[in-house]
Amino acid sequence: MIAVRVLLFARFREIQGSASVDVELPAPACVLDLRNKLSEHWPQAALLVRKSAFAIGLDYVDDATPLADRTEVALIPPVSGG
Amino acid sequence: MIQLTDKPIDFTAITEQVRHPSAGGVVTFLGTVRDITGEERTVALEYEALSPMAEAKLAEIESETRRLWPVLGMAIVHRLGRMEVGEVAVAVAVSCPHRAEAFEACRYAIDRLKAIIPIWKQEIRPEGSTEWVHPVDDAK
Repeated sequence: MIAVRVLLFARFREIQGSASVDVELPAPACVLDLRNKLSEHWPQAALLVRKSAFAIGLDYVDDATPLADRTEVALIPPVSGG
Repeated sequence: MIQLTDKPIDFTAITEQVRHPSAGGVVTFLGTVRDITGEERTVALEYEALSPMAEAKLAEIESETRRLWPVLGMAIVHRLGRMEVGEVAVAVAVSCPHRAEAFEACRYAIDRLKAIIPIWKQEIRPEGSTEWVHPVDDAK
């Protein structure tokens, strides 16, 4: 298993009631595995999870990106700046 | 120049800052807090950002815009926190030798900002309820 910390913003932070959530995934895991796990975690927000992006550090990552143990991943729901 | 700020945006100063002796056109776009969206009344918006990444992406947008148009001066400033109706949430100022380029470059920068910058707004309704805005139809 690997453990990743998912940083939460906007509606996801509201739903979870905290700024992050720790998720365990069977190794090897990629971003798509995390997306699927989060859809199960928040069934009421599965559509929003599907429409969200993920970022590591300063950049977006795609679903195929592998996840290392102890990575911090930001969950980016559809943005609404401007 | 790119900036995230908690303070009111001085768009006059930003416009002045991008002016240039070789610029024949200066375009400043202001995104302002609107009182009604569809049927819903809004008294204020509250913005939050994933700050380091938002700044990095704003810098990328400035670089992209400068690569695509002959930009002489450019500034993108986004305000965070709570804003009342009419306040300026974002300003994009661009100067170019000719007006067509300045309009196009400014339009490009604000459209990219709205598509990729990790910033979110929450609508605050007259009765005090709040709603995060996540435009699912436009999602990447």
